[in-house]
Parts: sequence; structure tokens; C-alpha cells
Amino acid sequence: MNKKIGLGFLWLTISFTAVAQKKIFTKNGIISFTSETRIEKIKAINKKALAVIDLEHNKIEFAVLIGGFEFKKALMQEHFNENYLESDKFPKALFKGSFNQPNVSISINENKTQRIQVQGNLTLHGVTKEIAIFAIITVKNKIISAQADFSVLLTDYDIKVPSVVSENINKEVQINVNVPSFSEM
Amino acid sequence: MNKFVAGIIVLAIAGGIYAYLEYNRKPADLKNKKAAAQVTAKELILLYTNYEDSANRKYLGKVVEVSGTIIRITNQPDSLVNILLGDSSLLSGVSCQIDSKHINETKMHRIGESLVIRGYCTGFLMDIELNRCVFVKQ
Repeated sequence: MNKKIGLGFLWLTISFTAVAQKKIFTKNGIISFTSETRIEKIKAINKKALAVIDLEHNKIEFAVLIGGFEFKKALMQEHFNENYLESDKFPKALFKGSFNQPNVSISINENKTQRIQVQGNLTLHGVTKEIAIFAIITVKNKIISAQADFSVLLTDYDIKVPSVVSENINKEVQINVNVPSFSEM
Repeated sequence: MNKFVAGIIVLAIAGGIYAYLEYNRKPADLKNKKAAAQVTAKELILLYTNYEDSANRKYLGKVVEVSGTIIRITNQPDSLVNILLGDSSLLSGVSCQIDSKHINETKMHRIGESLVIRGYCTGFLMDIELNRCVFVKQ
């Protein structure tokens, strides 16, 4: 892991200005998550996700630092890092996936909006699970943007919520990813 | 007995106020926070790019003061201001996301300037990431 550039994770919107490059990336992907129950709504955002798309091989990788999620309330942020996601032990979340639909092609030169299914492995809290998510990828005026929403079950990633706050935290957390702009690698 | 009841009520009110304030506490402004470590950008980059686990044990989740040269300033429409410290000969840098309360102070700084930034270390992707950063007066 040491020298590797960690890439991967939850995803949603990608924009890139480019000409005909095979790989594009961003260091400023935006990933947010929301947990909502009748008692409490919890939302956090991380604006520094790393994402790479290999246009030649239809591969996507995302990485995000768990400690980089920001909450409005310090107590929530502390519990998130120390008790639930244990960011000192598992500092990154990663997603590595690919889209293999035969009719999908992404070209900077062709304005188009496509809904694609991406399959891959999401590693969170030290647990890796295969997931499939849908994303909307749009090419407009040589800018590509992609968008997706999905959810994860906390139990799938061995994230334990103490019973005393179990009514405050939804067991299924909604994830939104938005990457404003990509650059050529 | 009345004093005892009054004491209980005072304690309950104090506890309620404390719980309310604690629940609504905002993340700390690092301007007033003491750093757990001081390091140069180059040292931090070399440690993270060569020994990430060891660097995490030393800096992850801690408030760190990093001295270095500004090689890039990025302003994004969603009010994300980022300063990259480092050395143009290195592939990675120290990426400092400026605390929204201190974004205005960014105007006083230029590329090529040496300075000290205090931030909360969240780890390493392509760069070492610091959040909630503030400028340290020298």
C-alpha cells in the first residue's frame, strides 16, 4: 500500500475537459453521505476524493480519506472517526470497478448522456464487497460529467453502531459522489 | 430537603446545558489549537511516499504544522481553497484545504512564498492531505 496511489470509492459526478486522452483524473471529487432517521439527519462531505477513469479499458477507480469527511457538529465527526469508521486503522475507502456494457462508449468529442452500470469492489472499514451501481455520464462541449447515487448497509462493512444511538443512525447510508472536473493524466 | 431538591435541579439544568453545548459544538478552529508536530513539507512528502504506514502512525488524525513553499493555489467555485506545499521536483505535495473561516487570508499569499500552515492530517492519496488549515504567523 505504501507507494501505491490509492484510488477508488463511491462515485457520482465526473467532469473533464480534455482532447483525446486515455486516462483522466481528479483530486477534487465530492463525496457525501446521509443517514436519516425520524430522530436525526446526519450528513458529511469530503471534497477531495481522488478518481481515475481509464477510457480505453472502461475502468474506474476512486479513493477517499475517511478523516476528510466534514460534519457540521464536532461530536458527530469524532464518533464517526473514532468509533464507527475507525479512521486511524482504516484511513481510506476505495472503489475499483469497470463498466463492460457493449454499447457504452465515452468520447470527449461526442455529446451524449449515458446511464451505465459499474461493477467493482468497494473497500470500506477494512471490508471489501462487490457492488454494482448506476452512474450517469454526460459529455457536453468536451466536458464529461458523471453522476451516481447508491447506498451501503453498515452491517456489510462491519460498522457497529452502539445500541444507545441505534435509533439515530440509519443502517442504510445514502452515498452521493460528484466530481466537478477531470484533468488529463 | 429544599436545598437538596434545589441542588438536584441545578445539577440537572447544568447537565442539560452541557449536553446541549457539547451536542452542538462546531469543529475546532485550528488557529487556537496547538500542533502535535512540526515538520517540513519535504520531510512529510518523503516519509509518506516511502513509508505510508509509518507516516500514518506519526501524523494521521493529528494537528500538524507544515513549513514549505507554495507551488499552487487553487480556488474552486464551491468555496474550496487549496494550497499545495512542496517541491516541484517531487510528484506529491502537501495539499492544504483552507478552513472556510480563513479563506480571505489566502489573498495575502503568493506562489513561491515560504510559510507555515497548520492543519489536520487526514492521510495520503496522491498528496498528503491536510484539512481545516490555517496560516501560522511567523
